[in-house]
Amino acid sequence: MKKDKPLSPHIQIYRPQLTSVLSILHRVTGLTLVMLSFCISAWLLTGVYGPEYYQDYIAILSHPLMRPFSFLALFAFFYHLFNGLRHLLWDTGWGLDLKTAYKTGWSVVALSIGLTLIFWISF
Amino acid sequence: MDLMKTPRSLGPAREGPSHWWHQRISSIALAPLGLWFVISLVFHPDLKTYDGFQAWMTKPTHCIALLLLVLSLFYHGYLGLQVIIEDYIHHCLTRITLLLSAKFACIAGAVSSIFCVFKLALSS
Repeated sequence: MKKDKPLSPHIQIYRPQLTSVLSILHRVTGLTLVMLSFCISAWLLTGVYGPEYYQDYIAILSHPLMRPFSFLALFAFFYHLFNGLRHLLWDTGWGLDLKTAYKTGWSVVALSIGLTLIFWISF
Repeated sequence: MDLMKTPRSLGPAREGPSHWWHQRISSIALAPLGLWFVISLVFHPDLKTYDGFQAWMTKPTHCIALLLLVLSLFYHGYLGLQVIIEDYIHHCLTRITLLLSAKFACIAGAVSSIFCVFKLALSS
């Protein structure tokens, strides 16, 4: 059996930075959005199965207890969208210096929270 | 610097850049499509009732946009899942199983959605 090779501590040692936190958040929101994609498939299926199923599905999504989750879902979408655009800008070579990365990083967070609130309140 | 641009060999997988590029292409497609979809879900009163939803689904632009969304979404999603699984799962058999499951699940999700769009668009 292959022996487990020891790993130096990293998460307990390194101070979280905007860069690293936003990076892992991009991955986490991406994962969340994959799960939400299946919710979209389910939504379409309820449409095919009939009005009772469709109304029930919409009722669940609109239920007060679901409000925190709809907030998180909208945030996942907007954050992944805006940070995704930031990634695409990086791919062109722009904005990779620390100062710009911090500026764009905070802008992404602000835009994401702002738009999430607008859409969440309207939903 | 130019010596760094051309790879000496393709590496054991013989492929890799295409994954990176396809991820970018699908993300560019998803930006407007995703935004359109979320705006429709939140701001279109039609979609809260079954009759409104049926009426909404008879419009060709909605159906075509939905189809494009579903295809780009599950493709982009699978590419992302692949990276995550490859990053964290080190046990070979578990990794292969998870990768295959993810792939099949995304294909199933996409095919199911495409079927539903056609069924809803063409009925009544």
